[in-house]
Amino acid sequence: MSEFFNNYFNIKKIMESKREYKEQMARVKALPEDYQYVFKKIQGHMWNFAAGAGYDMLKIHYDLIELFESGAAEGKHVLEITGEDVAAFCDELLRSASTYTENWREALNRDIQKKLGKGRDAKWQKPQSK
Amino acid sequence: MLENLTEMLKGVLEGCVLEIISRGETYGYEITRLLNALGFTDVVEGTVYTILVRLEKNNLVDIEKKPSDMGPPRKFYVLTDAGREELQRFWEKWEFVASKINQLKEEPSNV
Repeated sequence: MSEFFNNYFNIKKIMESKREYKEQMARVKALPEDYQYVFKKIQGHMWNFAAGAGYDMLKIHYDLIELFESGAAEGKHVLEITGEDVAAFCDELLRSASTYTENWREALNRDIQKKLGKGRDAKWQKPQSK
Repeated sequence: MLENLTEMLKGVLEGCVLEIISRGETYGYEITRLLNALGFTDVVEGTVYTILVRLEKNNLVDIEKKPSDMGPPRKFYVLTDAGREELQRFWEKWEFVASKINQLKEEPSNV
């Protein structure tokens, strides 16, 4: 519960987060146009899967700016960095974030485990053969 | 290189990246170039990047930022103790999988 309040009703944290967001988006604006476009598409796509307050998602996006900055500084095309399958790139990044799909997966396994028990404790028994 | 290796490589690239880092401090682009030179030409910097993000999150690597000639400071990676243990487990798993799959291929009647 305290974590909930810390994430949602912590005015100081929200203000700081907003300020940082502005600073980071200014870095995005300094990127070449193709990079900006791909960054924003990635950002929008990944937010579809976010769970909770999304601070971890913000961190992943801010770190991504750095990857794009170095790619741009070396004169590479943005798709040389991400690969042409940008969705697959996002999938891999999402593995490091908390996502609602992950929450649903955990809930599914938790519910079933609660009902049936786990491993050796499982209530399920092989039907006796005659 | 063979095409469409992406799916098959998914489970093993992380181990490859750990192995490369274990040989000495290195950074994302250098790891990518090494994998490309090895024959995995479809591996892009972004692929390696997502793996490095995961390794960092799982505390398998330590990071040191150093200034670079172009662009932002570069992140250099070394393995932590946990990273070295994970690498050892990776090679054990790999030996097992590779030997079993070869067995399946070579001796179909024994399976």
